[in-house]
Amino acid sequence: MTITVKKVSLKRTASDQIYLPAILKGLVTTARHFFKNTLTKGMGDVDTIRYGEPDVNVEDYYPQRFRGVHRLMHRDDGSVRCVACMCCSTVCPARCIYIEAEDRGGDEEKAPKSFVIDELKCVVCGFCVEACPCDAIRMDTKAHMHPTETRADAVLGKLDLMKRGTQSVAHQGGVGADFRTAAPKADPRFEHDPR
Amino acid sequence: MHASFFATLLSVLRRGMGPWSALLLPWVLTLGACAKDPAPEQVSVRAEPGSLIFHPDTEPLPIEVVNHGKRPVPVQGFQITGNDWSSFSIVEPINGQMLVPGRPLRFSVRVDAETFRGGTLPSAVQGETRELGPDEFREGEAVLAFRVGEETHEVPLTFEDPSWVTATLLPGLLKVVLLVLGFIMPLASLLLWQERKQSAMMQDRVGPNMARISLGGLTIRLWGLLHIATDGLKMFFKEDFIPRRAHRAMYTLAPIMALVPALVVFAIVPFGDALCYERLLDVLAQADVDQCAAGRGGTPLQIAHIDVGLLFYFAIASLATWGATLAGWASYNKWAILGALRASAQMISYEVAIGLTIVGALLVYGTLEPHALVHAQLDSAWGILLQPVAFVLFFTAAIAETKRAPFDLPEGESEIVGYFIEYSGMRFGLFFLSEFIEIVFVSALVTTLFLGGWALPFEMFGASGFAAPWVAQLFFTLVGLIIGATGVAVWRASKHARFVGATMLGVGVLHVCVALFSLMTGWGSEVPHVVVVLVGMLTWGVKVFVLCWLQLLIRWTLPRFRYDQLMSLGWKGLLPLSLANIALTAIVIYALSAAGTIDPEPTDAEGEAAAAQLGATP
Amino acid sequence: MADTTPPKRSRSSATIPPLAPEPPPPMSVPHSGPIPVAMGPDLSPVDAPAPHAPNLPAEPIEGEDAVSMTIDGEVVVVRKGTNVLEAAKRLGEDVSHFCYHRGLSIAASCRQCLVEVEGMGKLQPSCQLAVQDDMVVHTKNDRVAQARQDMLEFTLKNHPIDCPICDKAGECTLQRHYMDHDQSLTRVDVAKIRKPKHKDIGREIVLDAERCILCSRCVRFCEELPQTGELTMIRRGDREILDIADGHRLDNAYSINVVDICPVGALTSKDFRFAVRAWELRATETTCPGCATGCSVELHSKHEQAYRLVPRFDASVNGHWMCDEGRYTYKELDPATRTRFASIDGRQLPIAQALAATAKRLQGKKTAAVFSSTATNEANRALAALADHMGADRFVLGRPPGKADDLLRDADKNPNTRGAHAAAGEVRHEAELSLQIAGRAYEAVIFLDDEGEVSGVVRSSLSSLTSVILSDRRNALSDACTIRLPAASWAEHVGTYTNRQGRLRVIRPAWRPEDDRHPRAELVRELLLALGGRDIGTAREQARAVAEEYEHEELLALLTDPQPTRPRLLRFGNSRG
Ligand code: SF4
Ligand code: SF4
Ligand code: SF4
Ligand code: SF4
Ligand code: FES
Repeated sequence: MTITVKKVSLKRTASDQIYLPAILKGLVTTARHFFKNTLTKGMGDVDTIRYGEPDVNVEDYYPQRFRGVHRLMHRDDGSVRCVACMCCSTVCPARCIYIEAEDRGGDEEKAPKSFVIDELKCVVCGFCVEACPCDAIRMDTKAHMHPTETRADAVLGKLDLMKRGTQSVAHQGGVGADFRTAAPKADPRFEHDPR
Repeated sequence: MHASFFATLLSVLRRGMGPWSALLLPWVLTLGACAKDPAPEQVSVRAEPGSLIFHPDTEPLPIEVVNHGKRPVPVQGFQITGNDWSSFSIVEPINGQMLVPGRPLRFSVRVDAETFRGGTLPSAVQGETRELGPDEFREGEAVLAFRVGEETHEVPLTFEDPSWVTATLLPGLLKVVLLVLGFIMPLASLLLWQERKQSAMMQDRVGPNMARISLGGLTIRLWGLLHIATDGLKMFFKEDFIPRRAHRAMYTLAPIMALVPALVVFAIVPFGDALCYERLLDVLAQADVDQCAAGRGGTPLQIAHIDVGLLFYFAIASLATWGATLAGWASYNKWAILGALRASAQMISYEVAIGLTIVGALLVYGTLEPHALVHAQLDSAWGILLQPVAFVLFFTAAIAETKRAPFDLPEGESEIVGYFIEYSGMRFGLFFLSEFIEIVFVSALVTTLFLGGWALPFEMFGASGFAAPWVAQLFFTLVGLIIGATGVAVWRASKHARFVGATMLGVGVLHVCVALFSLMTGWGSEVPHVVVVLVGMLTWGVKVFVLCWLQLLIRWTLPRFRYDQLMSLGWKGLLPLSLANIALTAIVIYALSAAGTIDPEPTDAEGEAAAAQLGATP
Repeated sequence: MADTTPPKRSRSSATIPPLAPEPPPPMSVPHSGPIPVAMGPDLSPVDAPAPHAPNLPAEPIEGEDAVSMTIDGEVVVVRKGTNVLEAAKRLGEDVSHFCYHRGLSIAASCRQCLVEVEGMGKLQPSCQLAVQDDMVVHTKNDRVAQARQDMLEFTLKNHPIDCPICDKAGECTLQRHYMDHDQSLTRVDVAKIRKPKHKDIGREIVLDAERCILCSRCVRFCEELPQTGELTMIRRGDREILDIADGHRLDNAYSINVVDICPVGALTSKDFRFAVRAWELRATETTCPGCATGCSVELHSKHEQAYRLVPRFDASVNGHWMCDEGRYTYKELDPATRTRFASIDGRQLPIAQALAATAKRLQGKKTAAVFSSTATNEANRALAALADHMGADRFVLGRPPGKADDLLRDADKNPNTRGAHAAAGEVRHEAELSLQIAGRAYEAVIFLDDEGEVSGVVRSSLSSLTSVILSDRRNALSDACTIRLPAASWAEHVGTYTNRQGRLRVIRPAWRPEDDRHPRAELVRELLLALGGRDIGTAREQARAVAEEYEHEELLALLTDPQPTRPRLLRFGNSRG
């Protein structure tokens, strides 16, 4: 195979300098699009999804990894799955997650006393979801944050966030995921039984 | 000719209209079969103008007797009769002679205005009389009669002294209504929508399409056209915000200062030839129309007939800079003042270029008056052919004057937002609207200066109608097919454009029907005056619209200049080029007139040709 | 151990939480009974050496034997008797380890510190291996790396990987070693062994036995420092756990140190439990204001709120340790009780106006200047200048004496008794102050600090005097005074204390004083200027004078270059323990 080198002159020719040929070329291009889109069936190259049209369901068009408004997932007993590890609030580039931890009791020990996301500050990057070790926070709601009357209304608390939440069945840590349940409930060899 | 015409028609129908042609085809064929050749030639001698109207200060008026037929006929027995026959006289007495087609008989009629001065007039109230003052004239009538063969032709001669109201005010109002309310405002508002829709279409987007009216179960979306109304509503109901430290009076004045000059400059734009009030349904000759254009018995379709029209434009257009500058200064905002500075510098720079590019055209046509300019173009050739360089330069500079991309530095949405950054609501709306009015104006001016104003190309349409019936048929067919096919395409393109598409299809079909009507009756070369006026205005409107479209196309195609590039384009590009254009034009004109190629008084070349043709076909 | 959920202490309480009664100390306590603070205390330096730290850095000490050896191809000269781990550290090589601690005896139980020594067949625990001349050690070769990784895998076999809920996460040695040396996925597919979690084992401490890696640091600490020995290992092998010895609870006065030395999150402090993540904190090197010992500490804070004090190694004062009581001094910094603005007769004023009004009221009055043994040297010296100017009578007020022991705690609970008395010079008895104030012997009184106890009678009579208090937080005393000037707390400015050994102890700002708060020395200076006195210089200048007087290099450097006064973010900084 031979390689041919095409030498391109970078000199400005007369036709470059009077602009007009290039301008005309540009106009022809845009005009071509104009006519094609205006006059061909189905609007030519227009690929826009008509969100907001009565017969269009937005969710049909959202990709699977679309990031919507946050939600907090539940445990089997309906309590919040989050363990207030602060990973999300740490990784959040907008610093819009505020968590206060409390003692939950039981082996999970830690739970958020308050979990607040300021959706106005949120830049919808999804880092919080990536960071969460517990599958506690998700953005797969396919719902947009609704406009609110006041700024305070856009600050979602734990209960707001849990409203959209469902029970998460995610397993933690791969192979030994459900090690807690797989382990013997009470080992008679320990006098200090945690349960 | 007919066969090929049908073949073309059919192929166009088949390609352009697809299944729709099936509906039209039988109908077209039936009508086509009924088509017959135009009616046989008849003797037709006309006096042009068909009536003479004298004002107190009019010079002797020229009149021509023209043979439009194919055979020479004798004309004789010229005399003046009627009430005031004694006040009128034919300047140089003429005798009867054979009138050859294409060689009109020219003479003039004079009036002795003094005979109408003063005296008593019967008043409107029965039985009373009114004493006229020494400066007042009464009205008078007479008839210029002559015989053509056995036929007697009569040309009414009228003397009148119109008041300011009838001569100036009423026609002025009529034209303002026609132009401003009937054309500019609707077009400017349409552009508000078109700008967004067109840019969307150019960029493969959908654009505005959500505004709708629901009537019962029927939802009308009109391709988003209703956004014009919603935009207007929005502007009216938005908060009218004035920054605390703004200069309130100037701040309020600025949008008006921007809008008013933009509207005032339209005064000089001719949007048609002339309108003869009393003879709307007659078939008129160019001479009649010229008489109306001179203000006798009609009015030119131009709001202000100013001899220095273009100078007036320059004067007013530079006032528009005020609007931008005031807005920027009064807003008490640094971005606004930056935008204002940019705007004033830019507009001043490009006004120079605008002025100089027009000079070339002025040299060629020898007038500053736009109406006369158009006529001059019709007599020679359109400005775009004679002055292509000036056209490009002028169009460029004029776009720069409108402060739109690629010259939108005063607005610079991405960095300073511009001189109206503090404006909201309808005040901002006024700026916005004046911008679009300026677009319309630029288009109108380019139409006037370079595109032959209201005229259709190739002299296919004159004062009395189409050049020939087949021209009318061809014209209506083509226009009808283009509009109809576009309508169909638009219908199919988008659900929301169906109403628009159907309307266009209807208009197209109407055109084809007119073509068929002409085909069957030979109609076309003699058209009532009112239709001629309408066609002229429509032609002008279409040209303006296409230029607006072109400006939007440019605006959404080219990226913005940097400020130094803008300045160097203005001062180092457009200015020298326009100077060169002036010099070149002057040299060519001087050379040609020295060589005798162009003559101030054009010879009657057409008449000679017609006579020669006549001789060839007995 | 019925209650497995440790009660959480209230964070907003501004007072030092009452500690549970201590078990009778196993060792003799020298100072029993209250120390008469104001009765001309014995201000000669006390010889109180820091607790013995058995393992020192390997730097050769002049006049002692040195050893030359080769570590990873580099020759290094170290002190004779030190171990290979320290020797490697001298070269900047951090041999991973869990159980070795400089302040404790060597157990060599974790086997994380294995290195290869030429001539010795098996890998050797470097913490336990004494250096010898011409020893050739490899700390980085493949064999050692593999050993480390294998050890980590063992350690992690039953580790719960609780990091999301583990208070140690972010400063955990196990996390750090995993990231540095292992980073492999688990191969364990059997159930992990369960052990007790969140077991309340003492006044301050919660134990999570699952997280424990059995390094025995905590056991050794309890045996060697407070010598109480409450902790012990029970069971063997996989099922070995740490626990408290029968009939004991981990209630000694130094118990929270086990939280610091625990390399993992097995022992957590109830006070700090779930309060904040370690990586959110900023550390400021400062001095504990809890007693006359003046331990070197780090103040960990976030957003102008303090979360804990942890000891900082200081060979001459506190070694690696600090007492539990001292840790709670940070509660004084509670933002909820801070005095933020000046107030005169209950009316809030801008500080400049308040100072002018105060000076006006003090003008020409018979005044008592009350020095404070909790305030800095600079503040006390400034007050001395003011007292000179006004001809005021001098008193010293401080916290009442408390418990003391041989290890660190001093009965004098004030950080700067020595400095205050040195500045005040001749003082009158504290008891007299109460009498004089109650008897309206003074028209005005200036309190330098709001620490110290006065009776209700005195407090009520304060309201009828011109009583000025430089207050950093609201308490009974500051509320009783008519003029309250907002002073910066010890976490908000640079200053010095003089501890019982006569050493200068430096406090540094963890955050800027908010609102109208200013260092006390600054406020006193303004008052003095307003009263027509001489300019004694800004607080910084005064601190510089003190530093020069004591020839304190560190403080001098600090005042010249403010960079080191900035708190350092703990995140990615280091892992303690
Ligand atoms: S999506 Fe991004 S910005 Fe929003 S809360 Fe999560 S991490 Fe923060
Ligand atoms: S949502 Fe997830 S990442 Fe955030 S605190 Fe809760 S458990 Fe941690
Ligand atoms: S001790 Fe360390 S590794 Fe273990 S759970 Fe706590 S932070 Fe994680
Ligand atoms: S609790 Fe901590 S310090 Fe004690 S043995 Fe376990 S890991 Fe070591
Ligand atoms: S540090 Fe050496 S064995 Fe643990």
